[in-house]
Amino acid sequence: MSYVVVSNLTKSFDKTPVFANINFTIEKGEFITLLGPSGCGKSTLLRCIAGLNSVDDGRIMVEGQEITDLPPQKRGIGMVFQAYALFPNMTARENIAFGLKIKGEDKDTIARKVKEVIEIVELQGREDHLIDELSGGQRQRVALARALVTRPRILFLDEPLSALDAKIRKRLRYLIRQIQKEMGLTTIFVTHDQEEAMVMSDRIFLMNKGAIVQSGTPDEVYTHPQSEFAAGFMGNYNIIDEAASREYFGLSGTVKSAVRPEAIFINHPAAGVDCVDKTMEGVITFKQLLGNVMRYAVKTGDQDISVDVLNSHAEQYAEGQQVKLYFSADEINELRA
Amino acid sequence: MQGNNKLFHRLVIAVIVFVMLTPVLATLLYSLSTRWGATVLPEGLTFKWYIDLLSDPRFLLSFARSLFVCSAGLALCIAVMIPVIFIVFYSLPGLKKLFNFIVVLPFAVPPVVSSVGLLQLYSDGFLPISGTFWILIFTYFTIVIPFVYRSMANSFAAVSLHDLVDAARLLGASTTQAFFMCVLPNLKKGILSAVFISFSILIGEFVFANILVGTRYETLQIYLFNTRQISGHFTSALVIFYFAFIFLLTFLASRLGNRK
Repeated sequence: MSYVVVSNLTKSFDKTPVFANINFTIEKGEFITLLGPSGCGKSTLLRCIAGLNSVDDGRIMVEGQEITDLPPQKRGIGMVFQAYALFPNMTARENIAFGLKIKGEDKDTIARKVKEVIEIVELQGREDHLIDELSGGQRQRVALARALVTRPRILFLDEPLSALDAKIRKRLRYLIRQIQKEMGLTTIFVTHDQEEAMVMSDRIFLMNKGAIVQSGTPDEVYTHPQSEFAAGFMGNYNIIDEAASREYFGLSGTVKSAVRPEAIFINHPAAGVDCVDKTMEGVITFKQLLGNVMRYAVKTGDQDISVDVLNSHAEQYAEGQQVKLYFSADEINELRA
Repeated sequence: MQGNNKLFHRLVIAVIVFVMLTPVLATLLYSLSTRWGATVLPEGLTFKWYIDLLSDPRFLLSFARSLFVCSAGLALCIAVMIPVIFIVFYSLPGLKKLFNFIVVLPFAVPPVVSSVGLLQLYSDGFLPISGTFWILIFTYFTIVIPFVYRSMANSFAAVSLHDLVDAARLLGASTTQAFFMCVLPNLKKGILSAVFISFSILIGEFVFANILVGTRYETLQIYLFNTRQISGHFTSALVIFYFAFIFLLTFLASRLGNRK
């Protein structure tokens, strides 16, 4: 049996459904991410598993024990909140020690465990500061340490990095993942940032409108989106309409397809890439420099196609230029109707 | 242009300070004067009125009584209202509108009218406390509800109440432990501000005290009323005394509020 089993979980607020019949399993030590746009129900799902919100129906099992009706304090869950939720009346050290103090552990044990976890989150020297004397990144480290020190069965991270600036976010991403691996912590991470989900997770559960629409490893979900929503959310996929999918890619029936901008080539296929036979012709309407990548917008009949080309001075196309588009045969994703 | 603005701002502040302080300074000067009748300035200065006041056992008793009923009414209100506001904000936020309505009721009914109702309620029946200090304590409890509620509601809104309680519960605390250990200490400023605003209002309260207990339980304001015939200098000294007392409390409140 899996470490965490969520079956048929259903929740609504005032008869408005938030999510329905959610099913998934998590193995021990796995880092999974609930990824989706704002309002898709991912945070509520997390809060329901944590016991902070009740569920209307369904079961939650951890290590073979049903926890659906247990109060939050008895579920063995540690949580890091988006807004930190640190206790402003306490120092960083007191915040971290809070859970151990409530458990009734003796002073020496508390001091030892707090010291260990302060070293793990690299917060030495700041432990006796009040919360409002710490930066955003330091506060989030305190929150992480506070959740880790009680050795929870599962660690929940509810958009813990979204209030931080890009540089600190990247550093903390790495730190969280490193600690999670070292401690073998089963972790559920909630985010709306697909890049964050991709770099941190073992598996991603992509959510939309209260349902898990796709799950898999970051690579699977990114390279093989199964729906128009997944293709749009996971990257800047080009959605090719039914007629073009039939004509150019030979797909049968009335299905759309999705192709990543980096799997399309201008005027000639990349070396060693097997491309579909038919090419699309169009005109470059716009080009945009994204640093290491040059993005071209190509108008082909009714379709606007985005093409990403590695930025090199050797290969540049001008706006208004007539071009041929080659599509990598392995990257045509048939979307569910 | 900016210089003119600054001058104008200073002028506005100076006028307001002048308007607010003039009566207080005039009362202070009157309380320190030997006689101040037909002349522009007092004829002489003296501490006699303060010495007379502070050596009057009736004054000291009335002051102690005022402190007692005000503190008891306020403590009762704080003890009842903080858990109530916590429950409203944490578990039953739909009741906020009802509470916003309830708390203006003490303002909506004039004290003369509500004191008649209170007298009827407490004269007989299950709680015959009319004429005792108990009726003042319960009345003062209701008078300060709006101030305590508003001040505390602002404090509850300022802390991330749900996050704090949720975080504490996930760390093993009960909701009661979360309230006492993680929420209450962060309401210090709100509590202090509620206490000192309410206390300042209660210590100057006269209408309820006069109608509900009168001379049977002489409070500071009743004493002031009863001794108004003795001398204007004497009553001025009394007013300045309790004004200074309130000022001291406010000063202490701001010091305590700023302390980490």
